[in-house]
Amino acid sequence: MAEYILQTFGLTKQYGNHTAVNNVNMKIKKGDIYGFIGRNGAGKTTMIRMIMGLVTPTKGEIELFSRKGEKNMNAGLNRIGSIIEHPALYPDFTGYENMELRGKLLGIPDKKMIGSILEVVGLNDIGKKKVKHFSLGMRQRLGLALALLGNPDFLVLDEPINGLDPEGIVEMRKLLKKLNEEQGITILISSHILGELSKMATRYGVINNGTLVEEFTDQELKLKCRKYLSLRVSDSARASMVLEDVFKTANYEVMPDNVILVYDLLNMSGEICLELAKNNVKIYSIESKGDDLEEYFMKLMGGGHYA
Amino acid sequence: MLNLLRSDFYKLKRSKTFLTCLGILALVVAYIIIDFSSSAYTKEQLSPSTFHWIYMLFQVPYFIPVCQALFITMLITNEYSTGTIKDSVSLGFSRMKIYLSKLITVSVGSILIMIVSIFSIGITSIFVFGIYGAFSMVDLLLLVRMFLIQALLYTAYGSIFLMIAFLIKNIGGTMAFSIFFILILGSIIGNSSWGRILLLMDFSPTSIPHPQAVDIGITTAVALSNLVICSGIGGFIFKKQDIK
Repeated sequence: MAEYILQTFGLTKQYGNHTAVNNVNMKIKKGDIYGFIGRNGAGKTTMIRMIMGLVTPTKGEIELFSRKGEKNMNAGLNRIGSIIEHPALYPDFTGYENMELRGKLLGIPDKKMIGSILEVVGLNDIGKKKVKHFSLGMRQRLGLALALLGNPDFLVLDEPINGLDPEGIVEMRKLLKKLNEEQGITILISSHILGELSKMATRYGVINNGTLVEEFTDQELKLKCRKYLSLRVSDSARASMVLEDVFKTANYEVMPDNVILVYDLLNMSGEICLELAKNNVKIYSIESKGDDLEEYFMKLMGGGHYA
Repeated sequence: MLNLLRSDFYKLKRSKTFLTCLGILALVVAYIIIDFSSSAYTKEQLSPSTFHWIYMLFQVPYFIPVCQALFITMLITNEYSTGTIKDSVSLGFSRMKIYLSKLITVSVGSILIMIVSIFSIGITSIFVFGIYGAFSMVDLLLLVRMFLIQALLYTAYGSIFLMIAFLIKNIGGTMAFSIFFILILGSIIGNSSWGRILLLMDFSPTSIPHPQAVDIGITTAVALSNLVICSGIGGFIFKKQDIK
C-alpha cells in the first residue's frame, strides 16, 4: 500500500458566504512531485495555508505523515519546508542572518549547513547584502534555502518560480528534481507556468472554484494529451484488419459509430486513406486530434484565463 | 519553546527600532536631568537625600510606555507585513508558545529600556548633582523594591501593547491605538473610580512616589491581573487568527 505524506478529507474553508475551498480530498504519495494547478482565486493558496496550519479549516481533516490530530499535525509540520505565496524574509537582515534565524528556530547549531544550502541554491556569494536589496529571483532562492534548512521530508512551494529569469527557472527545476530523486523529498508545488510544471511533476491536482476537479499522474496526463487520428469509416472491423495487416499496428481503439482512434501513424493519413480505399472501406472523415497540455488544463479549469 | 525564545531574542537584538529607542531614551533622560540643574527653582525643591535620588531614577522616564509601544508595534507588525509570522506557525510550534515567547521577549525588552533609562539618569545625575550622602542597606532595599514593582508595571504595559499589535496587525493602526491608550484612555479610565474597581490602569509609573504598603499591594495585583488578562486575550486572538 502506498505511503501517503498528505491526505485531506473533505477539507473546506468558508469566509462568510464565500466557500474558498470546498470538500477537497487531496492525496500526495511519498516521492511525488505534486503539481497543484488552478486559476487565481481558485483556492490553491487557501488550501496550502490550511495544510501548513496557518488557516483553520471550517470542516474536514488533514492527515500528515499518516497521522491526524492537532498535536501530530504540529509534529508533522516540523518535517515540512515551505514557501507560501512569497518567501517570508526579514528585509533588514542579510541572507545569512535570515538563515541563522531559521536555524535557531529549528534548533540547528551547525552553521556549516547554512553555507552548504546557500551554495546549493546559488547564493554562496551574497556577502553582507541585506535582503531588501535582493532581486526577486534572489529572494525566491533564499526562500528555497530557508525551506531546505532542517532536511525536510516534504516541501510545500507556492509559486516558487515567480520572478525567476529563464535560467533561474531551469536551475530551480533541476534542483527540485534532484532533491526529489536523490533525497526522496516529496514536493507539492503550485505554479502559474504550466509548461514548466509539466516538466517536473509526477502527479497533478487541478482545483477550480475551490473544488479539486481531478487528480492524475503524469502518465495519465500523457495519455490524455496524446495526439491521434480520428477516422470515421464504413466498416470498422475491416479497417482494423487493414491497420494491423498493412501498417503492423495495434495502437488504436475502436469507438462506437465506426470511429477508430489511431495513436501512431500520425503523419501517414494519406497512406491510411489509400489502403482503406483499396480494401473497400469508405472514409467519411479523418482528423488529427488531441489537446496539448495547456489546452487540457484549461478545459479542466473551466477554460479562459488560468493561474 | 527554547528555540522560539532564541529566535525572538535574536530579532530583538537586531531590531533597529529597539536600539534607537534605547539610545533616544538614554539621551532624553540625561537631558532632563541636565535641564533640572539649570533651574534654580528645581534646585531649591530637590532635597539632597538618597531617598529622593532613588525616586528620581524611576520617576523621570515617564514616557517609557511610548518607547515600549513603538518597539513592540514594530517588532510584531513587521512580522505580519513581511509574512515572517508564518515561519514559526508553519513549523508546527503551538500558537500559545509562540505568543508566550513574544511576551517574554517584549517583557525583557521593556525591562532593558527601564534599566538603560535608570543608568542614564543615575550616571548623569551623579555628574550634575554629585553623590547624595551614604547608600545604606535600607536604600538598597528600596531601590530593589522600586525596580521590581516598576519592572512588573512595564511588563504589564508591554502585555497590553502586545495584545493590541496581535489584534490590529498593521503598524499605523497599532501605533495609533497604543498612543491613544497611553494618552487618553489610560488617564480617563485610570482616574475614575471604575478604573480602580475594574483593575484597570491605576498603575502608572508616575503614581509610584510615596507608596504605602497598600498601594504597592494594589499596584502589584493590578499589574499581575493586567498581565494575565491581556496575555490570555492576546493568546486567544492569535490562536484563532487566520494568518495570510
